Amino acid sequence: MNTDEEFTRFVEERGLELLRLAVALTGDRHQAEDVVQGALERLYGRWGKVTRRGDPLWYARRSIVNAVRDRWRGERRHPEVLGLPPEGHPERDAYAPIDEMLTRDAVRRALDELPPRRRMVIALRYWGGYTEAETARLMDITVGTVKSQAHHALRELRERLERAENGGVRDGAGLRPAGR
Amino acid sequence: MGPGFGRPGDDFERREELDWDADPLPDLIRECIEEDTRGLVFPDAMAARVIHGSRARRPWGATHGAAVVALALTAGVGVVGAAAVLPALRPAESRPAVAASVTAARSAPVDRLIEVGYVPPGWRRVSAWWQEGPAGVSPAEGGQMWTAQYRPQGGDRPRRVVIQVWRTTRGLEVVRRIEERQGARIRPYRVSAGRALLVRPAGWADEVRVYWEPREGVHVLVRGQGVPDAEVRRIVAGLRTTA
Repeated sequence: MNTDEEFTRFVEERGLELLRLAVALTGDRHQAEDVVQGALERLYGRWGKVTRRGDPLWYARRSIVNAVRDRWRGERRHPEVLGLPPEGHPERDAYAPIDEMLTRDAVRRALDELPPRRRMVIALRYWGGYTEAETARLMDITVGTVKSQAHHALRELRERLERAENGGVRDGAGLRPAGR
Repeated sequence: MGPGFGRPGDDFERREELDWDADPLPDLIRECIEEDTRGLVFPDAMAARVIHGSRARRPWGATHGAAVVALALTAGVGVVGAAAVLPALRPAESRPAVAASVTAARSAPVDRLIEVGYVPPGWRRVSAWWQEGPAGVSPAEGGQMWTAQYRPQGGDRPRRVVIQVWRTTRGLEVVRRIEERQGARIRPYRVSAGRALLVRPAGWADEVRVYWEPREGVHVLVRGQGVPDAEVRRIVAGLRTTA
């Protein structure tokens, strides 16, 4: 099997997983596709070396994390946003009980408002299921920073949710996992 | 659950770390992100696009380098030999052979200079009756320009992509100065061949322009209006020069 075939097979098998990771980190489908394509291009350029000496999947994940981080740094320098506001996802709320929907909406809004680094830590830890050590390796930061970022992120989320609740956004809906 | 990433066997550590039973918030976070990532479809063409794009950018390896050196040396020997022999054989009025290929490339119709390889899903080409680009940067009167306009099917929001190609004797530097004078913000834009500029025109918040000079004398402009940056980048990446 030559490089192109190996690489194509890798993309077919792992592409969706990488795209989901990118969406989890960015919260935006278009940005995520861009990030994944860039990561795959870097991986393809080093395919021989990476497959000989390491794990291509880990390399791709790391590359995605770096690209997302570079992006938000770039956005701080160039805060202009092109185009239309992010579109809603009416389909994902279909048939969900109103109480759950309101809770999820509040959490989603709060997540969107988190600083990007905290969102990344939260997504890797609580959605990706990475340990603190793995998260630190992926983000190239210390375990202590992961702990503190996760702690601050949860506190910030809680505060935002409480504010939303007190503001009458969620009348009577307590903070509990949706679907339980 | 998340995507089930490969994990080392530190179950105890993981159980301890992920022990959020007492706190419902992490579960809520996981469910929300899980919803956002559920139902995604990976673009089929991405592997091919990556391979194609990477090849165009990939630096030459040692084998290629050696082949080029060998070719250059052989050609050098041939040129020296030819320089000694040809003047006696060539009629005085004949022109160098290389001029013919340059002339052929220059004479290719402007609508054949590029191929559009990607447009967003569901978008179609619609007629473009005008033949003008942004003020000051399109070709002088009489100069040919090829214009293609793409729009999504349905939808009432003003979204479109316009691709224009023309020949010019001016470089991208002139375009940069003209756009700058009009208050645009300009950045270099990475492309697989030639040079390009990313321009955000003043007063048009939802417009982005990418000026691409795939080779000297040819300018390509991709204008996205109401289109996400990512789509514009994909369209530019999908353009191929043909002549």
